[in-house]
Amino acid sequence: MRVGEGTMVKHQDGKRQWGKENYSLLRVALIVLLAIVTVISLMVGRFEVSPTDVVTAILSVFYPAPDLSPTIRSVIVDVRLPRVIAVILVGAGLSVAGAAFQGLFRNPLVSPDILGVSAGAGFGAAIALLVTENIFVTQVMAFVTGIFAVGLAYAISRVYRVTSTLTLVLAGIVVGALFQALTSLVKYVADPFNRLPAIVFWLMGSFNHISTSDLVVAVPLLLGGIGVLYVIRWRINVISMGEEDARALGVNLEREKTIIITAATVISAVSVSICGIVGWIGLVIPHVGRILVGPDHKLLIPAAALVGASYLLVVDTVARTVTVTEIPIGIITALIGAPVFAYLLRKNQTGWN
Amino acid sequence: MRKLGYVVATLMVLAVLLAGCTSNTQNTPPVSQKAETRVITDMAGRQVEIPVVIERTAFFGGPIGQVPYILGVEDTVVATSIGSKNSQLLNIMDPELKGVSAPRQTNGIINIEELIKSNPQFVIAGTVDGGIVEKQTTLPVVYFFDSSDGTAQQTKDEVTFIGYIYGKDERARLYGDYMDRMLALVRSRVADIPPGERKVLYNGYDPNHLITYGGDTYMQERIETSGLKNAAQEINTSGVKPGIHAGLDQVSMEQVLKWNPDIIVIDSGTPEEMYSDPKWNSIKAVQNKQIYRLPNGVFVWNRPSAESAVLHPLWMAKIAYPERFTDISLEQEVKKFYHDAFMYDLTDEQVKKLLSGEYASAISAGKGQANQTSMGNR
Repeated sequence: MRVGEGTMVKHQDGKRQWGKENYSLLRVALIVLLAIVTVISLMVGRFEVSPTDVVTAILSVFYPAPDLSPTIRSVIVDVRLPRVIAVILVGAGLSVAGAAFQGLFRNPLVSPDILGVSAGAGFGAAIALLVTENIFVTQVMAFVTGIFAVGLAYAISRVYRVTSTLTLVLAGIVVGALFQALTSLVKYVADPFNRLPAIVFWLMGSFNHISTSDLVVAVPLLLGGIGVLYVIRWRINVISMGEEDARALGVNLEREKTIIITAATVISAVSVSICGIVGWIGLVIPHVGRILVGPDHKLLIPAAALVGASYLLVVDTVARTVTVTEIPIGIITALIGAPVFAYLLRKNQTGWN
Repeated sequence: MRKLGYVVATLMVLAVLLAGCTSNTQNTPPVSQKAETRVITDMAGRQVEIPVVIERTAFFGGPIGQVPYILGVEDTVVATSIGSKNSQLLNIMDPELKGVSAPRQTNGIINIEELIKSNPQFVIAGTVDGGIVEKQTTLPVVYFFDSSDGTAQQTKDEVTFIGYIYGKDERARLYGDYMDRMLALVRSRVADIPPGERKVLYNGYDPNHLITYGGDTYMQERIETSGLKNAAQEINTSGVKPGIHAGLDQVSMEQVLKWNPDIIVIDSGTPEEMYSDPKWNSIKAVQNKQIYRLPNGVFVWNRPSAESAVLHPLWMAKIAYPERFTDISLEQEVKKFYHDAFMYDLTDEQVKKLLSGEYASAISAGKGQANQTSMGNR
């Protein structure tokens, strides 16, 4: 290990991990877990629908079911199903993006919004909610400013021609702080009776308002981002060995970095634009994944995706069913995420050293 | 050790200097030449000394900002809330509002120096704002409520109390009587609707239409006055949440589908957008085309203000049961109320804009121009 290079992933780490040795078994278990959680999530909700009706309603997308009440069909097809799909993809996407970023920056404290994407997207959403009342415009603005924020961080970090990860992270912090301040400014000028509540609720994050039309754009982008990171997952291993080692192995570091950052940023920006800022997933889930399968990204990326999807789906199901009012999901993810993370840090020293 | 001594000594000198400064500024506000005063009991039950002749006051609180206009004492207001100052309609009714200072942003955020500079004789405020003013200035504070529940009675009491401070009891009584007459009229028209046949109304605020008022808020009373049922009456939403005004909370889409309201009132977007959204499709209000945009006068109607306490129940009752109000024109009633209560005659176009919610502002801070630009862009 080079001195001053920060923590490095060791592939020949001494501790044996059950999940690594029995990876195929673990993968099946995680897929089954996600399937079970998905079925449960589709079955429960504030609007009680019998399991047979749920199945009939979902099948009615392909095979018309004339006997089914239109209300029940609408509850399942227009409200519950799009929401479950969005939660699964956002949970998986943010976890994968977090795992990729932690590998890229070789730092376990990195989350997908380290380059300012959430702050940027949050600002875009806030300003859109201030000047329009249109959800679609808000989503587009959030996505565009999220991408713009990361582009800005990237541009700032290029002052040394080569994007060193350190300058990139610092630039991300600068851009994030800037956009957070701008968001506060928007909240300050927003009319407290008409517009401020909308902005506050948006920033708290929620899957409450997902509709099928949101998914048309979001699903391809999320799947695309996850797919790219999945395909190049072994190259993240090489990058996480350190820039010089990676270069010595003949990896085009700049190109790989750009691909990873772009894919992770698209995932995060889409997430914020459809459901607001949902924190802690991208930070904590990769650690859980690392406990299960170790630091090898070939195994970690799919494991993180499956764990993240199941976790967020459980949290969102709780958020929408437990009380009559909707619990903001960002509150639950932070309430669970922070102590779990602290526990993992204490207990688990495998994976990163 | 010696270095530490220097640091401590410097800090002490600084502290003394700073203390001197503060006590100086506190003495500076040119409290007017010892005017004749009287002692009143405010609505929090405290004894406050206020001048007999009121020349300069600060009104802190969004909804309370319209009360000086009802009493005809708006000329005495030297400091107000940004929300009132940027009210489009208030600015039309009172061109001099532009020159009034607005040191209060939202509940609890006050620019104290700006307040002192505007030099009021006393401050009329709610508990949070009043506490801050009392702590940081020597200005007397008159509390217009102790714990606000926003009911019609509370609103009437506030107007009556401020009327009493100003010696405008007659104007306040006129307002109170107007409210009583209006609410009695609405109640009498809907009284014979059996509980089982009352329509269910859902307030779907926010661009997502999933923010609402529960059964433990002032909105419950208003909806019941109108002969309606609050879709969200089973839930409790009161209590202060950070950044959001008390009483609002988020409900899940499925919950709204379950409530299946007959009528939906929105404060953002258009009914047409909801009619074409498959998510809302199965709801009765969509099928019967009964989604309405909330009106907005000198202040938003979904807050406990003097204006909305009178007009909001009538508006809801009329959209829900038009057949019971065929002889009543909303436009005429709005005009009449503005004429009697605010002593201002609205034009037909202004009434139209008011009822369609076009006076709702997006931006509360900054200058009025910013406000207008943002409106123009919409």
